[in-house]
Amino acid sequence: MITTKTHRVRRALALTVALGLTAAACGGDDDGDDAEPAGEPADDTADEPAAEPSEEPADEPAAEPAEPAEEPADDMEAVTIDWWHIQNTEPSQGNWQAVADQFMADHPNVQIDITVMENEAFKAAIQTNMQAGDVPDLFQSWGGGGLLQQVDAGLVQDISADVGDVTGDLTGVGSFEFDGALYGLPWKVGMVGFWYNADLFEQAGLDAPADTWDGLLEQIQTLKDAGITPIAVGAGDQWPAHFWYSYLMVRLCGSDGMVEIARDNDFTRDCVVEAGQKILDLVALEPFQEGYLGAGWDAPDGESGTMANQGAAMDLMGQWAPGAFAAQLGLEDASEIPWTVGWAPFPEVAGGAGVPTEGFGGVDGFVVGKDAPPETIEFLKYIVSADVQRQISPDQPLPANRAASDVVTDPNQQAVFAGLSDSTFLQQYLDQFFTPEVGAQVNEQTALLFADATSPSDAASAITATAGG
Amino acid sequence: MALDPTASAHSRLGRIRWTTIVLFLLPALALYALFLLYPIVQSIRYSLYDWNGFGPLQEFVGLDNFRDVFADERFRSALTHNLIIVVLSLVLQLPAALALALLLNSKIKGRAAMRTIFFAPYVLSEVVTGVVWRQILRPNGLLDQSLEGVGLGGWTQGWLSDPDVVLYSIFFIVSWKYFGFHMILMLAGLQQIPEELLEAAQIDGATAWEQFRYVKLPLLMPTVRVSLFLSVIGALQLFDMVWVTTKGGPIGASSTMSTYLYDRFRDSRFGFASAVSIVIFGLSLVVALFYQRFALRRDLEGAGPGA
Repeated sequence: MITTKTHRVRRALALTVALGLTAAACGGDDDGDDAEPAGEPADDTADEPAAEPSEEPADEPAAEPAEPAEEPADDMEAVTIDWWHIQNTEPSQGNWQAVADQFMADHPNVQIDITVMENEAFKAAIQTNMQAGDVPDLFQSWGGGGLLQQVDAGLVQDISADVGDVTGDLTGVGSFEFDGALYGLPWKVGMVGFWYNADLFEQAGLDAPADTWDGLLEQIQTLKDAGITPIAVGAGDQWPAHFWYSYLMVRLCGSDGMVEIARDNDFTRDCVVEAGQKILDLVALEPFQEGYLGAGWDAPDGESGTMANQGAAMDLMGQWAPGAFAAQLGLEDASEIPWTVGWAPFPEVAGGAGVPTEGFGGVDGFVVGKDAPPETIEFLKYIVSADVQRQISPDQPLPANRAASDVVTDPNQQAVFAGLSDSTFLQQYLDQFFTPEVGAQVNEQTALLFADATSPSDAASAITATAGG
Repeated sequence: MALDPTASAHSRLGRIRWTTIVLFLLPALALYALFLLYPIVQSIRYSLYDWNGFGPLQEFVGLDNFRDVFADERFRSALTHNLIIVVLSLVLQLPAALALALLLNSKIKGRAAMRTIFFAPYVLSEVVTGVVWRQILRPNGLLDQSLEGVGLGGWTQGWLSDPDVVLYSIFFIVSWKYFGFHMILMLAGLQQIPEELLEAAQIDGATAWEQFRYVKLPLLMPTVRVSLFLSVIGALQLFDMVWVTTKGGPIGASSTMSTYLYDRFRDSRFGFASAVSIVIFGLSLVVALFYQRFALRRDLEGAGPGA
């Protein structure tokens, strides 16, 4: 198996770092001036912060690593940054272009070439490029196990030394950190929770999704009795279903348990088996829309389409869900959805080691390729700056930069953002946290559980076998 | 072939001609080697490594990947699905195509129009076909609603979402798309049968069935064999229709060897996936060679300037 011991150790390290940072996030400093990190005054301790953005870096060879051939002439050498992102719909695509244009205007020597791709196409293309050793300078990443493979292959750049002044404001940095080395920065964060149709809940005489698992199961029966399909899930795409399985694991195993699972690559513990059993209990209630086993996430007959057309009362999804509902209805904005959209956190599970402040979600970030020019890091820091985060946020809720929290105005998104900010632990999506192979196995076993086609312990063993634990 | 065998007496001339042929073939051979042979050789090489697609090939694992392929239950069920499709194609799709070809070969009204209609699905792209059928077969889609409309509400199924049903739905879609192609092949075969033979049979008092059984069918066999061959190879490599409609799901119930292969690439198991591709390649090759050796041999005899 390719997963060696060092990987496991690293992953555990990454996780603990993630934990630490999210914990640090709780103390969120909201003191207005976000541009300047309230760090050292920079006069003494002169040699430590190598990257000082304040003055002209004209004669400062230390700041430009590994490029001694560079001409220190008055005119800076022209560089090109090859940037790949996946915001292929408007207005995001235009917003990102504007961000690049601004940066180019401020840095006349920098040319930014943007490649925009749809999510799946991007994943296929980046693989091919990586194999050819042709790594973009800056590209979309979700961190975790996928990134770790690229780190091990030496395809990405350690930027720790240059970004120390911005990481303090960012949530989710740990996803891009291995062995204390940082390879990218997050720009968007998210957390999974219930997006529910408050009108349908009301129709069944209910308020909002319950805050306990048992209460939720009771509500499911109440909704069914009222002739309402309780839950939409795209089990055909597998990953939407994996939110249920994973969040139950987080609740039942707790943060310590999740860290240990990642460290040992061993899912054969009671809390994971219990999570599988809870899925089977849920499936036995038949709470899902018709044909859920073949349904995808984003399709008219998928999870988002079912929710959008009021075909189900709730679904467990990330913060992008309302946007997808709106898109299914042909609407510009989530605020135009003709039913009342509500958000509720995942319930507590009795007897579980987890606490409600332990979240499950993920981050979107950009990673710096191995041959990227130093300006790439400057550009990355620019992207994650509060100003740019504000600029792109209307279409990209939940900025990673906490200094830009003021842009989150939708009450539901505020609830998600508050949940993230209050979280003491954020477990990253399991299918991104582990290597693609293990992630796919988690998803596959989830689908089998949703089809009642495997046992909880077999599912746990199968994932463990793939993870090599 | 332009090569005239009688010219072989002039051996010098023959040599020059061979040189010319080789020279003219060289560009094509180079392209063939570069874009076909080289990737195959590379795949074979990758298949011997545990490799995630990044970095150099380091972990040589010999034939372990191949052992794991056959040990993986998911591969075996995918292979079973392929075989089910092969059998169904041979048992249902080909006879249907043949029957239709016979019907449309007779002098019935509007047969030109019908030929076009039956052939039309073949002209559609796979993806369009898949998307359209996905819409028709979705829960509460056109098919379910039509069934309910005529009082057959009890017949509705999770056509693409019930693991027990989905493979047959896919077979239906594939057949819907390809039977027109096989029909046209057989129609062409039928039209090559000389009219005199049928007239002679009629004069001898052969019934319609006897005419079919003893005159048409034997003369049609070369076409049937080609049709069968294309059907089998197509079924073994089935991918696009499955991917567009179900991605091999739910829970792998409609997976084929090719979707299994693609999923392994998506898992970033390039070494293993290469082994899967070699297995598929090998299987198709074996089937093709055996078929050529035993079934198509008669048809191919005398078809070219001998081996």
